[in-house]
Amino acid sequence: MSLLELKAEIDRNTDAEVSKILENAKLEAAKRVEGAKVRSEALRDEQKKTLRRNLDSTAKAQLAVLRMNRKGELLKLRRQWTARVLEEAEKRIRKLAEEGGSKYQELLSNLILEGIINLKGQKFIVESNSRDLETVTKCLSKISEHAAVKGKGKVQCEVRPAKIDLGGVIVSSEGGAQQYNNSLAARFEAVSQNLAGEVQRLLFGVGD
Amino acid sequence: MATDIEELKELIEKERASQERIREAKAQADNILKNAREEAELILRTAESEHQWDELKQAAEEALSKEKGTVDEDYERQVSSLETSAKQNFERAVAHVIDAMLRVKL
Repeated sequence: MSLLELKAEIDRNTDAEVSKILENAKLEAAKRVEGAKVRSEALRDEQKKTLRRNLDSTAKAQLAVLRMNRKGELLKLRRQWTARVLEEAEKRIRKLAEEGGSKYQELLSNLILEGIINLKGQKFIVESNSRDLETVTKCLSKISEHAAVKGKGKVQCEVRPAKIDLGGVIVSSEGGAQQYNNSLAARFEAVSQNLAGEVQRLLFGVGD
Repeated sequence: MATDIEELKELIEKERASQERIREAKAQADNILKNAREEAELILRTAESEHQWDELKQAAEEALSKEKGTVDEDYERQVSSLETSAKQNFERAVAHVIDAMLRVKL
């Protein structure tokens, strides 16, 4: 082989080696960058999923609390209206009792009679507030007649003053073993408890 | 003989130059790899950055705010409906309570 041929051979080999080194480096570099891109994409996907999950659960929790609060407020509003109805009813009953007209007198008679009918025996104590005392005393004879008609026979009633705020009566058997609380306050209390649901239905319609 | 030595020297020089080119190529290859490593690190650093989610967070906040608005509007509608119904039926309800209070079972 001549010198020229040798030199050419060295150049060819060198070119091939240089080319191989650079080609390999480029391939390896491209592989590294591509690997980073793939890892980065996977990382981003995972982060996105986690973030979405967190954001969703936060939103759900906040909306659930808000809905619960709003529901509570609606319930409160219904209760407030029910309380207003009961308050107004109490106000009107109080007025009726304070005015003491014929309607209230009839009511008192009926309240006493109901007490007598529901208690055993024939001797009773009828308690009323000082305002109603005279009215109660006056209607006792009629009450005795009505009681007789209802099968109670001849009943005897003793009228006593008591602290009864709104009005009405408390009827007790002689000796106080049995008592029928027909004070308006007691009746109002019972009505408030028993009719709250019904009042809400009347106010807001069936199903509310 | 003199010619042979001269040729040998030329060949040695050629070989040395060849080694130098290969060394330079290796240095260049190292540089290419170094740049690739830096690029890969930058890609991963960017992927880990929190700021890229700002838009997603903002969108979620807006969606939540809209949903809350809907819940509030629905609540306001229900309040209005309840108030109207209660005002309309108030007297009837009061009369019912009074009637129940005054009703005596004889």
